[in-house]
This record gives sequence, structure tokens and C-alpha cells, in this order.
Amino acid sequence: MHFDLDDLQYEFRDAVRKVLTAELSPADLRAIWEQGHDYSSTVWPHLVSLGLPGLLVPAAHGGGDGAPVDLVLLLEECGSACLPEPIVETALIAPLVLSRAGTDQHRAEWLPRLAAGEAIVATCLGEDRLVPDGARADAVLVRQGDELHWVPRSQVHATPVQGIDPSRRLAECAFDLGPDTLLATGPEAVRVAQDAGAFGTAALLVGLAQRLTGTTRDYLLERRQFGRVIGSFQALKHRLADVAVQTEAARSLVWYASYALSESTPDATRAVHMAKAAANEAAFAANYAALQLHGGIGFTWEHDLHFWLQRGKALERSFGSTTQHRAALADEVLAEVWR
Amino acid sequence: MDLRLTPAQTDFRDEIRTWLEENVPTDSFPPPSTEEGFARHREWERALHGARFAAVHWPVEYGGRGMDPVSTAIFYDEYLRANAPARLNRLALGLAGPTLIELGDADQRSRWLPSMLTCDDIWCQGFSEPEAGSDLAGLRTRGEVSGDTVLVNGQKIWTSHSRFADWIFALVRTDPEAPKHKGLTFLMIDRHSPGVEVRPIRQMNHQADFAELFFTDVEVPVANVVGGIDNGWRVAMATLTHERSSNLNTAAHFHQILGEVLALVPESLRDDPLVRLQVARFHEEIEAYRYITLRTLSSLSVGRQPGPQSAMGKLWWSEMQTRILEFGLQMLGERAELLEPTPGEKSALVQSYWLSRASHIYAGSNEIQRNIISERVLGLPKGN
Repeated sequence: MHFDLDDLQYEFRDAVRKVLTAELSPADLRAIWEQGHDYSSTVWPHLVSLGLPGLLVPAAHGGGDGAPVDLVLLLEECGSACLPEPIVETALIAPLVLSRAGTDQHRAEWLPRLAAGEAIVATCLGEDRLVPDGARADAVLVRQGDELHWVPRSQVHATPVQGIDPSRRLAECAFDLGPDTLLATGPEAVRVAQDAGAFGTAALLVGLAQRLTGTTRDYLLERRQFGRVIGSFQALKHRLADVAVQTEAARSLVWYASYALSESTPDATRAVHMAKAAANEAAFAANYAALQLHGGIGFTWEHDLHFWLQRGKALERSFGSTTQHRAALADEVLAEVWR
Repeated sequence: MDLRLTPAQTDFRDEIRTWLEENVPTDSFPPPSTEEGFARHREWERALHGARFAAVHWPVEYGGRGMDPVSTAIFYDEYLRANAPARLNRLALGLAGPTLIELGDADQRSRWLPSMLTCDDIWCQGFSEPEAGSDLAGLRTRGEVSGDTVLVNGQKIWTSHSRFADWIFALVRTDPEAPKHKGLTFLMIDRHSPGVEVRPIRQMNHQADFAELFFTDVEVPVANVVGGIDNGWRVAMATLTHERSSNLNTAAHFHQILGEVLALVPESLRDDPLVRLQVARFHEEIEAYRYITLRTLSSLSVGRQPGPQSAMGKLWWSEMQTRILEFGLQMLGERAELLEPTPGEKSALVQSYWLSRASHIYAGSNEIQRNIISERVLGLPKGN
């Protein structure tokens, strides 16, 4: 029994970190925010050359044949870098869903493109039709009741709208759904997509929470008031310590969820509920502490902090809120205790 | 990452499980603070030792099984699952013994380790003092070295398991001139020596789990010094690192508490969304604790430095446990005010609750834990 990622997974993490540090500086993010819907990605080809987008695609279709446990640290890095790409949708949800649902034709057409990083995927699994990257994606995975549809761009009617985080490029979408787009029917396929989305977003949030903590720590070491660095004040130290604890708790559950999904353990959905709820809570705490401890400068447009604050709040609500995941977890856990 | 047991771990687990199924007493013992309870717990400990389960984390040559931290955790999961009696000599097996194995000399090991395993000698800890709580290194109990003897004068407080204790592992100040972290010595003191007095502390929850120890001209042989005179801080820090891999505060333990609390939720509240969200949060927090701990144990088992989460376990479990018990008391409603809330059946919930409040203070107060996390994990400066 060993609960840690292995050396290769850490090395892959380091390589992704290196690329994201070099190719996605806060100045780059600022430029991307200003581009809005006119975004053209410069970081994506670097991720493709590392094999990240196709990591979960089966080897038979040219991918890395990996599992969610191979992706978890990489997603933490993407969250930390505030990566402006639908990485969870493209690198996690799409290959998992296509591998388990849909037709051979779907797989033959799309999996090699995903493996090569040539397709971007968006998802629309909730009731709302507001889709990040909905106008840019090559295909959108759509839930309609109990059905999952794979909708190529030609059948997506997307109207770009302005969101508070312009690097998510929201679009109001309508879809031409029909027998030609149907991928699967039944709760099982929907659950695969939802679990993957919630787990992947939880991993992003853990990385994002850690980044907010690190940025805030740096600021506390630099900012002086009352003749000393404010990081020496216990009230501030303790506040940030609590965020670090919540982040490590969430990370522990997210790592377990990556294992549970990779091994398809019977408690995988339950593990995902816990991971997303805990990651939401950690990111929530990090968000409040980061802005508060930065003080006024953090509230300015000029400071970079808000990229992570806005992204964090968006991701907290994506693929299930804390309340939704805990309510679902309660139903599972209490069914065994009280009935 | 692989959470399956190895064949060796499976064999070990099966061996423990089978032995516990055959040997765990069916009746519950009186508390170990009573004469009868103490005798029965000691009898149980000797049975455990007979099966070489007394200290599975100790090396084989000293009577253990040489189990790594992960396998030790497997042992305690089984132990809790079997509802086996509380351990009697925790401070010897978990702290004093491993310290001796790591830093004691051969004579000291052969002198004290065997009687720890048989519970012929029960051990307690003499670190905290009235004026040295969070500031442990500020302790004042004097140890004057003269020839072959250390003459001890002073006072220790918050000593648990002291009623039947035979030995105290203590920190005393042997060099009052040195800076406060130097000049300390780690000393094994015979509780039955002339000049040692134990006074139980009556607690705010009507119990007396802790005591004060008074030392008046207590003569302790220099041979009882562990790790060298004036080297006590280093030894004490080694002792405290053993705390994290030798306790019963496992996820299984907290699930047991949560299960007891869930049984108190009245039928009328079982569909209440707020109650259900609370319960889900508790479940999630216990599972987070499981994987926080398992990360640390996994690193230790392969000889790696554990990650930042290893500094966070105590803070996490102590505050989580109080939230769970607080919720339980709310479920009891007005009856929670009773010392024995469930008519006809003694419930320890209210006592567990107050003891959980104490856990925010002992073993490094939670404020000290937050200092440690902000300074060692986040790299923020020490206050002044």
C-alpha cells in the first residue's frame, strides 16, 4: 500500500511547470484577458509537445494511454498557472467519455485528433447553456436529460458573451441535437462525464489555491507596516496556515479520487464528491485570505491577483458546488446508516 | 500509487484479524484508572505481547515486528475494527520506547524495554510545567549533576496515566546558564523514588485524567540520562516525532465516533438538508484525514521526507472531532446537559466532548501548530 505519485509522474509535473512558467507569465495572462474572444493560443502547442492533451487517449488511437492518476499533478499545475484553455474538458472528459461511450466511428474520428492536440472540446453538462469556449471548441459534449451528445462545431450555434474572467470566453449555445449526435443514453455515461469534470476541476482548484497561498505568502514577506514585514503578524500567519491546511486536505482527497477513477473502484463517485467539495472549500478560503491579506492593492485591476480570484470563483461553481456534492455524498453515505 | 495491500501486508492483516477475533474480550473493562480496570487492561496487554502485537512498530530484536508506519496503521485499523480494549502503556510503547531504541544505550534498552512490553512498568511523560506550556524550552525543573547523581527539584503538570505509573520520562534543566534550548537533559525518573509526589488535577468536566508531579531532592542516577547531559532538547524532539506514527487517532476511530453521533439523530431530522450537509462534511473531513495521514505514512515507510501535510494532522483531527461531538450534543438537545444523558445507559459523549476541547490545548496547542505551519511550511518569519 503506497499513497503517493511516482517519480515519473513528478517529473512530468516538473516539465509542465517549466513550460507554463516560461510560456504563461502574468503578463501573458493580462494580454489574454485583453484579447477576450479574439484569443489565439500560444501555450497550447507547448502542452501538445509534452503530450499532455492526449495523455488519456488509448495508445491504439495514438495517445499516451494514461489514467486520471497520471493527470492529477499536471492539472494542479494548470490550475496554478490559470491556464486559459478547456484542459479538463479536452484532456480528461473527452477521452474518458469517448473511450467508454459512442461508436467506433466517433472514436476513429476524434480520438486521434485529441491525441495530437488538434481538437479543443467544450462541455455543457448542466441545465444552463452557458459554455466556456463554446464558440471556439471543435466539439461540445452536451447532456440532454439522460442523453449525452457529441456535437461538432458545425451544429453548435454559439453567441459569445462577456464573462468576468474573459479568458474563459463564455458563449450562449444552442445545439442541433439528433440521432447523428447521440453518444450514449442512460445515467452511467452522464456520470462518467460529470465525475471526470468534477475531479479534474478539483485538481485545478487545488493548484489554484496553492498558487494564491504562495502569492500571498510572498506579499506578506514584502509588505511592511508598523516597521516590520506584515508576515510576522500572527493573525495573518494563522489565517494563511488554515488555508494551507485546507489545501493539503483537498489535495489528499483529489489524489484519492484520481486513483479511484483510474481503478474504477466502487466508491469512485463518492470520492469525486468529496474531492470537489473539499477543493471548492480550499479555493474559497484561499480566495478570501488572498484578497484580504493583500489589502487594497489586490482590489486593483493593475495587480495580477484578480486573474486567480476570478478563475477560482468560476471553477468553484463549475461541475458542482460544495452544497451539491455534499448533498449527493450524504445521500450515498446515509443510505447505509439510516435505512 | 497503489492502495492494495501487498501479500505480506495481507498476511499480517489476516493474522491480526484472526487473533483479535479469537482473543478480544466480549465484556468491556472498567476504566484503567480503577484497580480492577488496571488489572484487566494489564492482563490484556500481556496477551497482546504474548502474540508479539504489543509494539509492532518496534524492531524485532526488541520484541516488536519491525513494521513500517503503513503496516503499523494497518494494525491499528484492525485493532479498532475489533473493538479491542484501550491501550494501557501508550506513552512507553509510542514515545519512551522508540526514543530509547533510537538514542538510548544498550544497558538502558535492556533495562527498560522488556518491562514496557509486559506492562510491568507503566510510563508517563514529564515535559509540561506550570510556567512552561507552549514554551516548553522555558521549563525550570532543576537537575543538579553531582558525581553519579542528578538531584531533581521542581514541578511537572498535565501528566496523564500517572496513578499507576512507575516511570517518568522527563526534561530537566541541568545548565541554568546556557540558552534555554541548551542545558536541558532527558531523564528517566523512578516514580517511586523518595521525594516524588503525585497530585491528581480535578478537571472542569468532573474527571481527573491528569496530575501534577512534585519533585523534592529526588536522586536520579546519571545512568538514567538518555542521549547525554545537556542534550535533552534534541532527544525530546526525537520523542515528539514518534507521536505522529504511533497513535490511535485513525480515520476508523473518527468514523466510530461519527457512527455513535449519527445514532443520536432523531427520525424527524434525518431528512433535514442542513443535518445531511453537516454529516457529509464530517464524512469528507474524516476521509481527508485518512489520506493526509496515509500520505505521511507512505513517505516515512519508504524513507522519504514527508510533505507539508505531515505538520497538519493534529490541527485537522482535533478540530474536526470537536465539531462532530458538538453536533452530537446538539442532537441530544437538553439532555446533553446530563452527565449521563441516555437513561439507563451511560454515554461518554459529553465527556468525550470536553476531552476533545482539551485536545486543542495539549500535544502542542493549535496556535503552536498554526505557528509551525506558517513558519516551516509557508516560510513566514517567527514573531517577536
